[in-house]
Amino acid sequence: MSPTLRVVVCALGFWIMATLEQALAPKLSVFGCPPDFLMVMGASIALLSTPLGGAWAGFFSGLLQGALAGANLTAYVISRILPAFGIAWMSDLDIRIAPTVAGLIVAATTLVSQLLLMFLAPPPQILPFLGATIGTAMYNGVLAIPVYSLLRRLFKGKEGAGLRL
Amino acid sequence: MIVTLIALCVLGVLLGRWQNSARSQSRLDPVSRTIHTVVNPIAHSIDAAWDNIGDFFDGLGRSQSLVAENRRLRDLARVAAQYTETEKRLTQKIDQLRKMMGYQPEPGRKRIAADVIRYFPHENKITISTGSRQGVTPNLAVVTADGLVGVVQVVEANRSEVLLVTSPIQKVGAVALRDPPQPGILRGETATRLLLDFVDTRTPLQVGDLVVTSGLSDTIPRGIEIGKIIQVEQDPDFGVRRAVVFPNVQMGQIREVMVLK
Repeated sequence: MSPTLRVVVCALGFWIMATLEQALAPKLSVFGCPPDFLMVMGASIALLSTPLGGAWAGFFSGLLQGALAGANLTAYVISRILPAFGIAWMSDLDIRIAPTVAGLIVAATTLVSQLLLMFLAPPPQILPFLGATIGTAMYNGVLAIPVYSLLRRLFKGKEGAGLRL
Repeated sequence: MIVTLIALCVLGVLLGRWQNSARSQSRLDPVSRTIHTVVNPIAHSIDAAWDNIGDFFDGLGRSQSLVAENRRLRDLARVAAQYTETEKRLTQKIDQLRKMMGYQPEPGRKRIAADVIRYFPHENKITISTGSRQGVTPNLAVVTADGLVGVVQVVEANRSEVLLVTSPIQKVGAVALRDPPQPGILRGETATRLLLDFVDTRTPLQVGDLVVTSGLSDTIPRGIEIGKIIQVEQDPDFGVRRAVVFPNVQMGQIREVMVLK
């Protein structure tokens, strides 16, 4: 897949996830924990890209999330950029990541991002926020398995050739 | 690589500042508005379709009880219509008397119905389905039958953001209903705990006292129920008497609201 086409696929993916986030995320809550579709998309793209591509994926993930929630854009953008850059940098070491491992990485990325967000824009209640974060991280981990598999198939093809965004 | 990373973080900071600047004028920044424009139309369609499908299957399993409930609701609607008619007549009379005395009409006479589109518990905000096209303006009170929900913060053409009364940055003039009423300033703390501060440390208060809006505002009418006092605290060091109020409205469960104009 050509780099331009990859960017188009990423943009389309973010739009679909933003739509799902806005329409269905609260309705698909499990034990009060909604999924974070944009985080799943941003982290999955970061896992398949260079550190720079990961930072951009984190940027758009945070920008969309913050804008849709009407929340502080600075806090959302920075809390998404840094973890996405980190996992993209790790996965840049040409290690082939299995979808289940990707799920675990996305869950951990969600936790780190939300902890950063907690420091940048402290919520009124810390404990409920942490509880919801753990639930959302687990939810994201499960959602990331099919999303990452699909993106890897699209970007790398069956043989799993390297991807550079 | 690091330079780009830092540049993206700086861009995030700048976007945040732009957003804050726009919000201080009760409007959305162009970036957020563009994202809403691109995402919301399809999101609302999916949302409505999801609800319709859910309602359809829900209705299949409860058809008998729904018929009975429908009958009961029709009866209630008839009673409510009579009540509304009486209230309208009395309100018109009050307005006429105020006009004769040279007073301005009280705010909150016109009600604009809206659906709650989204609830953001950590941001203490909801998004509602009416905006400037329906006559909504910033700082208007948003209520349900149970009481005050919050105050309109940002207005777009067909939607608005409402800062909930449970937000720590939301301050509303309120009174504890005693004889005489005790005025204070109410702010949020958590979803189930509001704080009502009184400057007079001798303010007589009791657990169970009803707290309503004071009406000392151009946009929030007086007498809207907020909640009940569940605890009274005294902090003589700071010269403050404080009541903990349990809100009437359960923010996560509201689906329809009224904007009072």
